[in-house]
Amino acid sequence: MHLEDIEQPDYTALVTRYYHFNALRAVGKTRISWHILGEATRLTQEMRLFEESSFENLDPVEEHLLRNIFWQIHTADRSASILNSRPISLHRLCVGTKPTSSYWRRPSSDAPLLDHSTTPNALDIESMVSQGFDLCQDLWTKASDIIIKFDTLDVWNEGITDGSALVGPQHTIVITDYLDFIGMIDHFRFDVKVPETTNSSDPATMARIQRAFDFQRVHLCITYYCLKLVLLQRFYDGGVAEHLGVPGRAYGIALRKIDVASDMVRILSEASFESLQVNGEPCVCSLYLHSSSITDSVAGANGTTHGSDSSQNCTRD
Amino acid sequence: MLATNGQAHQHDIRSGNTTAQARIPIITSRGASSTAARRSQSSPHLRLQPELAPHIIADQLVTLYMHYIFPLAPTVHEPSIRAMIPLLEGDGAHGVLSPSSASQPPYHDSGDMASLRNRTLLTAICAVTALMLPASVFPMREEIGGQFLMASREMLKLHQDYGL
Repeated sequence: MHLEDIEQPDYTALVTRYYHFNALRAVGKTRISWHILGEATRLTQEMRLFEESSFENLDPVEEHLLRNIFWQIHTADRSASILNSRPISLHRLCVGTKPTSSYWRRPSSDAPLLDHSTTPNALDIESMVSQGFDLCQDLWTKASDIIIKFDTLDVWNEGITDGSALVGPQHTIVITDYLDFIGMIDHFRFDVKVPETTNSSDPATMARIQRAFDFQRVHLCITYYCLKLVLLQRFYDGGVAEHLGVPGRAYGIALRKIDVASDMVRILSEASFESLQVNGEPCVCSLYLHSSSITDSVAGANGTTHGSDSSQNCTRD
Repeated sequence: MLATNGQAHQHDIRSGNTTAQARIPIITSRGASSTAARRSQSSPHLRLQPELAPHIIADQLVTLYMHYIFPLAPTVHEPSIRAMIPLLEGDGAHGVLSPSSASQPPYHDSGDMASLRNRTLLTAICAVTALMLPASVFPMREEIGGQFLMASREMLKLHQDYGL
């Protein structure tokens, strides 16, 4: 008998709190929502979902759901750390071991999540959704790992006035990580048209697939450019922006940020209004982050100070 | 269960006729209480008209979730969540979205607890769907989303540390 979902956490305990977290965030209760996310991450730690062995011998549908909700919570944890300066909970430094969990790798047909009896081409939809979903988790994980490595290098640099711990193979590793991050998105991912891998003669089905692709496309676009901006700033703050081809002076980073923002706006300008609305909250956060970050950099380039603090964005409580 | 849901769709959901909106359910505000009445309502519970009973709204919100939110958060099993919808039948009889007396503790068997946990999950999905979608898709988002969220939070409190 399942008496307590704290004593015996399962998929339902996790996903319920994850939805509460998102619903509370949607109504602007960011502090309460963060506490609810904390419950979900704590339960995730107790279930040891960061270890691949935790998914053994499960019913395939339960395994599929648990993997997906684990990665959603994992990304929410990274996002809160990067965008709202919250302490991270699911990194290897916190859980005491290197996470080994993978995404759902088996065919969707092994454990479909959509109702195939009422959804034409459900497997095509799920396959497309799965690719974008995994890519989004990849972006957050890689960006967060880079930032954590910078933080670790900062620790090594404590007491070293010239920051020499950042010089040498250490920063080469971080730059390689950054190139991996950049390489995760190819220009096809931001194409307006859905890839030609799905074909249905039913216009309604194709419209649904295209819509799902649009929502993901906007979500990935916002995520990618937002994280790219954060990483640029982190390289600049670490004094190694030159290695990315960005002049180490304030105007250089300001110009590069404007380039990144322009790229994002160009892609979003082609998006449907509906897909922007469905991504409303991350859209607003991203635009706020870009505007405040660019303003800070421009002010820095002009030798003036600006009142905004781009690290304290999207806090609405 | 699915046949019942189908009837609910025919009753409350209108289908768009443009290519972009083809067959996407959009809930209208038809049958909702007036804005003035909603504003004057001090009770945290949703005052429902028969055609806006919680299980019918939940059925529509689950459909919207699968179309709009699932591409970003594929974290539900549609057949399972649809099978939970009848749990909300009867909630609207007194205009109140809350667990029935049978769902209140003490729990006599695992069925009671499973039912309550499923209700908590279902109302959580309804809340997040209503609150994350734009008003153009779900016009009553704040009124209904807020009620589902409050109900789900209250239900979670009922069972999360039951046994203490």
